[in-house]
Amino acid sequence: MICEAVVKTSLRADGTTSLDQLGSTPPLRLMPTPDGVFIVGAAAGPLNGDRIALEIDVAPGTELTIRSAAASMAWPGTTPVASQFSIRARVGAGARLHWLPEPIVPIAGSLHRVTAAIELATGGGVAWREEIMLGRHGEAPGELSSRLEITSAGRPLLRQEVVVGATAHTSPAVLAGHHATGSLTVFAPELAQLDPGLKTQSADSDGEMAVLELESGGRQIVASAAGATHLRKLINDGADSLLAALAPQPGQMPRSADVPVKS
Amino acid sequence: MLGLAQNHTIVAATNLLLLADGRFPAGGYAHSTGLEQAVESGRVDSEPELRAFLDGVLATVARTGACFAAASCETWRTCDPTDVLAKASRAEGLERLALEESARMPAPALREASRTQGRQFIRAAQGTWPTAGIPKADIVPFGVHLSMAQGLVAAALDLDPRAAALISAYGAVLGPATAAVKLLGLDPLAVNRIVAESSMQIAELVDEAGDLAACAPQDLPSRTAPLLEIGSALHAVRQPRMFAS
Repeated sequence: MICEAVVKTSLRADGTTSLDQLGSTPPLRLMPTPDGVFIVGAAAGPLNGDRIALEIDVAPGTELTIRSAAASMAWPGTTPVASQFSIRARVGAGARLHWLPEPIVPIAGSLHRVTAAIELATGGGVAWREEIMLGRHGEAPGELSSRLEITSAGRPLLRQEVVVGATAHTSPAVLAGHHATGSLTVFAPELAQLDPGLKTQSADSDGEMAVLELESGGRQIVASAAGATHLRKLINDGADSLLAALAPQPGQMPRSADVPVKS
Repeated sequence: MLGLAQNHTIVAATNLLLLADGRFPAGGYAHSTGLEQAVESGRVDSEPELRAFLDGVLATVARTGACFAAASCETWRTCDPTDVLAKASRAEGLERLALEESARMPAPALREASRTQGRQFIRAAQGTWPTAGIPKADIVPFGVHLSMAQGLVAAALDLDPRAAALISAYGAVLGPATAAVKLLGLDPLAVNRIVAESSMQIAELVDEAGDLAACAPQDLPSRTAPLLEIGSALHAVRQPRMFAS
């Protein structure tokens, strides 16, 4: 199955965001709601061999939140060809993109590739969450590669590929057999206010999390956990620490949408 | 096979041995490449776990490092130093590589460890081969990463990108392996065996890095090891610790 979906925003005269274009076909369906655009699985899939492309254009000064109604499963199919989900996003000056979907679950035997390429205009902001569950309960995960590339004016801000599969995640250097891993990557002009010495990290028997300061000025909350619920908690803890660090600046309170919100 | 029939090949091989030697004073002994944190968190406690740790390192950060070492070597040696335009484009190319590598290193502690070792690697090489024309560590803004240092020194010593990748990949294995003996008291010969067993993976990695040496820097590998990234942040605030990273 081949599917192309588009989401575009534009700025209304009163400064609010209008959803200009919302086009999709199965297995990806996009539903506008007051809480953001929801990705709804409209068919089982992706199956091996499926190709899904999503184009996101967040016009200057507008805001867009994309969520999903449920975890997405990558299914094995009859072909040994990977299914592909490629996302291209452009975020204009002063615009905000919040990509906050539920986890992806590569089911045993599936081959799935996700690529996300985000181009940020100067002054644009993005909060990009990615959570991977390593297979359903009690099974080994399928083969999943997820690449995240964020650039601005031709400069790389972040390039990162997470790979899980039959063996890739079992190493004590990579995921040590944890069943869930994820990150929340944030770029926003107001992060420049943060004290560069600010350090947040935590570890217990169920998982680990750290808020990392990227050389390009963004922050990445990286977490690895025994399960999806704890993973989300760790990522939210990291987001809270960023919000708390941004809050005490009087007169510069970020709007709630400027930094990732919990969900 | 190295054809050691030629004098210049023996010279190159000797230089390669010196660079890859644990005795090369590049400060690698102060870094466990994440092993100390993995030991502290109870994840590595035995020979099989060390093996699995090294497998993970080779599949992720060491792969990226070897590719950047090879690409840096290629960028340095394909330039005719008498051609001013070529030198300017080489400087741009190196800056681009440094930027691309930093974009693949989210953890500040790992970037710092990489640059500290990069500077020391260059300094040690300048002291060892004072007339080889080894470039300065500040040839790129913020200083070279370790892999770039390895690539540049290899190029200055007339070694090729695959040799640079080998120095990088072997170093990525040797660091945690040496640290494992100190941290866990593992049998040094058993640890040597583990290193020797990883030679096939190192060979695959070196081949890939050699093949990619001339490709666009944005397309170089970027596989991440989440627990090494998080672990570096946990390790940076841990006291006392035996290793700097």
